[in-house]
Amino acid sequence: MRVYTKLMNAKLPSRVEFELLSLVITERSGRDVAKLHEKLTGKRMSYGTLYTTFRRLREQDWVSVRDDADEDGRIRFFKLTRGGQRVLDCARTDYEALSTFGLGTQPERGPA
Amino acid sequence: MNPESKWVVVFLMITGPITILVVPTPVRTLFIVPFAFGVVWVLATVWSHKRRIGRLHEMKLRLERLAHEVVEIMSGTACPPRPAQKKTLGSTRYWGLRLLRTYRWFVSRETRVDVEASIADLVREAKEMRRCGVPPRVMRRAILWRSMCSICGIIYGGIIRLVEKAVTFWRLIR
Repeated sequence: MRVYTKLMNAKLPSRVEFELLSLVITERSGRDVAKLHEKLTGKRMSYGTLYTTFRRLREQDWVSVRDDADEDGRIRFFKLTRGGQRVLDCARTDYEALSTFGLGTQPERGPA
Repeated sequence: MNPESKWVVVFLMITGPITILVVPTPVRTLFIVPFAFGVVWVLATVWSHKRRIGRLHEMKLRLERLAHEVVEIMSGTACPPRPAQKKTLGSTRYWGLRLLRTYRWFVSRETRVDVEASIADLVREAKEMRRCGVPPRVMRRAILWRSMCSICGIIYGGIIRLVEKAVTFWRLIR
């Protein structure tokens, strides 16, 4: 179902993608993003899901990736690209419009 | 095992499958037995070498500690601080990390990079937990759980990609 919805709205990122895009406006490492996501949403995202989603975003040129390393191993830094910024703005506008859609058409309830 | 006998095993491992394909069934049995022995031999050798390396590493650490004690005695009180023993978080204590390290050999090159980044992040988490004084038993379980979640996430991502491709293809045909 999620896939179908995603394909129907190919220009709009999914909820997780939207959240991750919002978190990498400044360059952040995968771990920082996971921590921040947990702090903001209260839900823990596994690293597998995080990196797989970022890979999908990178394939769509919404995010740029920089690799680095320290004593513990590899670090991946993610940053929003211009295309990603455009998509994020577009998604924000669309979701805002969607949240108020159909509110004016409700029939007014009179006194019982 | 001698280095020469290793080549015997390699020879057996190469000729074994060919023999199974070419030689008729009754004679084949004669070749399968040495082939199986060869496989077991190789596995046993790898295992023993690993143990030997572990022992050598332990000896090296002991020698370093001894040398440091000598320096301590020679210099009196003004001795440099004792270097911390290097603890590898990817050792057998953390089965979760081991699982991820094994899993990375079964995925594509691109996914392998993601798995490696996940492993490094989990190592950092384990270090942080250790600094916070989390009991080792809890740490092990937490790391194992997170590794499992990571693997599930990667598999789920792969399935999603596959379904996306299949749906795109189907729509193209339709």
